[in-house]
Amino acid sequence: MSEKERIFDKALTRRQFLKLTGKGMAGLAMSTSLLSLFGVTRAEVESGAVSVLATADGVLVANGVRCTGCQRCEMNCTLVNDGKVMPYISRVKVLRNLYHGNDGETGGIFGDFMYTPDTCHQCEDPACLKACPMGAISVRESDGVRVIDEEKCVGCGACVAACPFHMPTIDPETSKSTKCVSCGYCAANCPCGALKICTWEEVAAAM
Amino acid sequence: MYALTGKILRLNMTDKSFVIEDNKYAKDYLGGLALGTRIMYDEVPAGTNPTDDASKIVLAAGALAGTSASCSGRTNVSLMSAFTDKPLIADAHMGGNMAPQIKFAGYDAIIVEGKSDTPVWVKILNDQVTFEDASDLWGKGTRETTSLLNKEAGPEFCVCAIGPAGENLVPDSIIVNSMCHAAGCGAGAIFGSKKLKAIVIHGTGSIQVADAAKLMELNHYQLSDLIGVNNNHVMPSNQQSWNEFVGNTRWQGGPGKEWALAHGGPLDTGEQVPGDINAIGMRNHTMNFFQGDVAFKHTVKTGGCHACPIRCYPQLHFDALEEYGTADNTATCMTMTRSKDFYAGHVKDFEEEGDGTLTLGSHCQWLMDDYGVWCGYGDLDYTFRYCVEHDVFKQKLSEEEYNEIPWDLMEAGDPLWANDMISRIALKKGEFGRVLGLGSLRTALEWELPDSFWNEATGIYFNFKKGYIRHHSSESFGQVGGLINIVFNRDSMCHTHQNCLGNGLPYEIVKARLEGMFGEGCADPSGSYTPMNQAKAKFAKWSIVRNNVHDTLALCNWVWPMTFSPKKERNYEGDTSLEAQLLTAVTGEEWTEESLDLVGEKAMQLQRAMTALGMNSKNLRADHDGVSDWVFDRDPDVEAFTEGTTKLERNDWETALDMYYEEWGWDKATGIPTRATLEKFGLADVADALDEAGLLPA
Repeated sequence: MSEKERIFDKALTRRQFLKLTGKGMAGLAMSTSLLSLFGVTRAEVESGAVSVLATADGVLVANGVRCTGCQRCEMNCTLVNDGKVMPYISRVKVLRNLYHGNDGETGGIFGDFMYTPDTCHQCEDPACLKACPMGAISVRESDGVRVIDEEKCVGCGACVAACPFHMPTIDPETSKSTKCVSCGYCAANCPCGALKICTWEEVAAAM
Repeated sequence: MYALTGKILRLNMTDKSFVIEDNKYAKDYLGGLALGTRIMYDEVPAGTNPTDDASKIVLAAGALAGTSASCSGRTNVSLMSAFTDKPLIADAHMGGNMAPQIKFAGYDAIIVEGKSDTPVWVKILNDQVTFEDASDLWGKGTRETTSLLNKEAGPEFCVCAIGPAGENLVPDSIIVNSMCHAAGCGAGAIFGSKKLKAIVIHGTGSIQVADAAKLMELNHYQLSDLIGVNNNHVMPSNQQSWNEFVGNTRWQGGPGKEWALAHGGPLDTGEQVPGDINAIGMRNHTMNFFQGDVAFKHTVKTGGCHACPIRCYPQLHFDALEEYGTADNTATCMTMTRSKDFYAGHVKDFEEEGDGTLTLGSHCQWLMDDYGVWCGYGDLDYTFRYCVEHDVFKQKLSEEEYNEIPWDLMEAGDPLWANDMISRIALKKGEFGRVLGLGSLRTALEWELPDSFWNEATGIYFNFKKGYIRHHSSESFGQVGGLINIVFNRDSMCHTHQNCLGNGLPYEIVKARLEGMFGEGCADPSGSYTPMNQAKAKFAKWSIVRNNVHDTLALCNWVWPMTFSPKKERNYEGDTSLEAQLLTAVTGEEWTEESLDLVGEKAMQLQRAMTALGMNSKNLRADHDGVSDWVFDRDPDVEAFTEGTTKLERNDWETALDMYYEEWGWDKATGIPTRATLEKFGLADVADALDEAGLLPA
């Protein structure tokens, strides 16, 4: 372990961050440096447009104020992870919120134009993991990511049913579940900067 | 199969059945425009009325739809036109989300044929296709229809619907998806004649690509090095830290330019340095380009089509329209910019000086999309204004009908005027509603409008023979834009040439690049025209060929091709081979610019032959390619080819047609493709059909 890695404790930062953010962002007293790092304003946070998700490698910021619904994230996700274009199994999902908003009623392009990409929450107590009858979902020790063992997965859909955020999806072509592995390709290629990944090192420095 | 699905979904409305067929055209026609045109040729006899039993409509996705290629969310709609004096092959186009969903559902195209007796909506989830009762939806606007069907089918389904205009078979009608992405040309009337209220589609399948890594590399290359904004304007309209030039462009974003009504407060669109992929979507603001900074003040965010990083549909809010139910709206340039003509000079401001045109324009656009009325690139707007200003309504309407129309609302600049007049058109109410919805040519014929209708000094109609409005015609590179504007059976939707004009780069850079492609003298600056030459003919032809390539793939020709770049280190030179590179990456087959352009040209050759058959014309030069007098007679005090005028000269125009037809391989005397030309594109059967009809040039 390098000197730098010894000083920086990723897991500790993650725990501190989760404690800070709790279940949501709205109303959160967040430091100016964290807001700056995430590329969001306090008003955007307070409007409910921003979701901040603790992933294994860092924090994934999804900013509905900037999301313009092009769905390039959905395609890029599957291109880089699956070698094909298949938004249905994308680990970031925006189409389902595009027309009528995340609540299905007042937002979206038929409402007030608010729609925010959904992403895997990398839950501290993952329902998907607990529901899997094959033990195919586990927490990767090296970085804490919840990963799917494709050898064990039988595509039963228990994780799909269990996830309160409706994020895992069974690929009908492979009968395997798919979920986010925090690769960051969606964020790197978002044309509006609506998705952003900040490393735990950056978060630790800003907290 | 890579990129394409190899399947076509055929919906038979008569017996409410469907068939999933192999796409036998995939190899030779790829998709979109070329595919749809060929299906129409094979299945719909020339001269078929668009609302007849035998009429069909083809919604075709492109080969690159759903692949992640930029700006690939467009659907090509092939149909018989309803607004021309005779039914002719035409293509309408819509962005939004239909094309990718057609592909993800497993199809390259959807053919709709036959007629239902009762209102129907069709639900498509992959290979599950059901015909549902639409009785309760009939009469509703497209927006309420969409919301209801999303509740019924699911929030992720793309709803492509008609409004009352389509139901009432109004020739100027649209089909519309994703709130505002519309295909015109009377597509709504064809859906309406089949009692088809909506196609509601979602796909959970995949698009397989041959080389995902190469595709991602090409996408990155385009977004980093090549793409600008809408119309591929490559320089901002404001000085940023990096740009060498500032132009009057659609690249309106920049430091201090804010989405004023963004959730969470004003959002500064900031620096947009080429290469910063995460800032591309903040660049464009089409409405601000037309209306000035008042548009930014009403902006919540921007939006647009599937897969497009250029967000050319500003999403706007108007407090002043809350009471009319139209406060939130999104649209790109037309109709929002042109609807002021519906007020015939009586536009009033609402909250601040200069906001009237945008506010009323948005209100009109909202209503037209909801009622499903087509503006025809401002054709309807202009026709209405002409009729007001020349007392046509007073002369042609009965006294009772004229007096019943609330002209006082128009003169007051009241939003309710638009509600009244647009609903009259959609519902075919009275002579006013019935005739205005026919389109300009049929309106002019029915009401015997004088020549001034085609020749107002501002120069609206380029081709009076078919009654379509100029769309980047002789004001864009002189003869080049003019020649581009004569061949289609609607306003020319070609932007290949236009995207080189006013892109923010100095003329010398544009000229050098284009002359390198087509030869010396191909690109005259606006208002400084020279006589016709072969280089101009080559430029004009390539512009249409590449437009057709885009409609075939189907990429957005409002952004493609990548002729120029925003990057100084590239000497602002783009890369026109990118379409072929992308197609090679996704299909695994070797495509070149030349081989791909042949497919685009084939679509034109086929459509041209179909036009001759549809008109039963032995001479399209005389019968179809007519140019309005204003093109030659404007600025009467100066000669053509003198500094400061965009007028053309009649003898020179005849030379232009000769050179242009020669480039296409069309008979010079008649403008009809020769047998040799058609056979070069594998269209010998089409040559036979022309021959049999006595229309093939000797």
